[in-house]
Amino acid sequence: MFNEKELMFQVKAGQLDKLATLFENNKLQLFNYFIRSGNSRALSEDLVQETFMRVLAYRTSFSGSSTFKSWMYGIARNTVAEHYRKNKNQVLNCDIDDEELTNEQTLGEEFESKQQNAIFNQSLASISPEDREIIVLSRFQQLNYQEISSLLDCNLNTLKSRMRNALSKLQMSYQKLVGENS
Amino acid sequence: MKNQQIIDWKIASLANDNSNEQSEELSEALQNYLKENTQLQEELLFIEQFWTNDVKPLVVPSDKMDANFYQMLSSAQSTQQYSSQQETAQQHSSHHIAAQEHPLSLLEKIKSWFMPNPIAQFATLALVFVVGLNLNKTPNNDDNNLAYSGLQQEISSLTTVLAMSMLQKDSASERLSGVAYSRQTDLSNPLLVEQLIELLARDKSTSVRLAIINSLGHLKSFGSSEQRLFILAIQEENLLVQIELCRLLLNYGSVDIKKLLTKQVNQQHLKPEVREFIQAQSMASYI
Repeated sequence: MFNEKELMFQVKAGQLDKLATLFENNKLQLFNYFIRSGNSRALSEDLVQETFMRVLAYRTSFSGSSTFKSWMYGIARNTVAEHYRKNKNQVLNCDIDDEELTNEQTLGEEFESKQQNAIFNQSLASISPEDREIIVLSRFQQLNYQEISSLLDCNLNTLKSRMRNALSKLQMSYQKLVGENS
Repeated sequence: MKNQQIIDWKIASLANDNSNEQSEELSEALQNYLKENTQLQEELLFIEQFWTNDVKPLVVPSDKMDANFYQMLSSAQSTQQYSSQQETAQQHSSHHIAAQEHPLSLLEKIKSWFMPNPIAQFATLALVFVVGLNLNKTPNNDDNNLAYSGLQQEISSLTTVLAMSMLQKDSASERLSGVAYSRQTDLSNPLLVEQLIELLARDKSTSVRLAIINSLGHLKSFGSSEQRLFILAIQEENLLVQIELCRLLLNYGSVDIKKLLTKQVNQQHLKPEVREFIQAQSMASYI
């Protein structure tokens, strides 16, 4: 397992080919981060491209005070925010909640698991982008609290409190959807 | 123990976060506390279900994303290589000036012909000559010639239409294909050139913009667009794009525009890297 921070320092020193390793290691997770944030496939691909373009352009500003992942997601967040600032009329695609719930009752455990998964995704799509982001970063992007707090520029206690609130809203939305579908 | 602390601990343990440690004593206290608090039990169960529920497999991006990234990387690497070559050339030239030009001996001149660089240059020229000769072997028949050039024109206009259509697409990959198609034409259509410059000014994807700059290098003359390209080069915020725009104008622009751009070296609103680049380019042109 290679050290991403070390690789990024090498990119910073001028070994641009090392960026390919960082790209290969992170592209899938980053692409799915954009998808889970409600962007279309095509836009998510563009955003991954733009994020790595910025990683390259701003390589000299990487200080190593946070992990590479945390720094990269910071750039990714700014990229997507800038995109929506420039394209104010563009709405989120929300691929995240496009899984239709079916009414079939006989497919056993696999069906139940899929059904539950679909409701979780719908609940996630229904909460605010800020709440969703914290959950996605922790649950799906597997960033630890330290990385998320550095990324969101808040202290650990604030982050924990925001996470509790976000999960509480997610649970409320989930229960509401379960009630509607039962 | 507060509910909040228990929820924090639960999330941290599910997320494998080392910052929250759970002792056996705490675990025992937690079990006792949970027995009396059903609402908290429900909350913890929900969090656990959400965290351990099988997520749908990751969506795999298309190969185009990889292709675009590697194109961008190779472009950045060639820019970097070019800059370092410029630096070396600069150092060489200053060294030569300092040494007051030692005349080359006959032996050195002969030796230089057998160095790898002239051989490679000669081989490339020979290859270009042979390819050019073969491509120019046109049919003897005049009718065939006419039909051939007509067909070429038709293909060129179809490619132009295709390029213009692709340049309007939402996806950067498709717009990149549009730029690639535009290269297949001789860029003689002013509308296509206008569209490319328009896209260069406002496109959000740096790869697309760099590809456009590369394509514009194939123009015979910038004509009335030159002034616009100059303004773009001065006002550009993206460093890579700005340097490439400056390179385009310094390599293919008119004498006036080159002078105008060189004067910008002293302007403080330009980024130091860009000023350095323009300076290096103009010094290289004197060598």
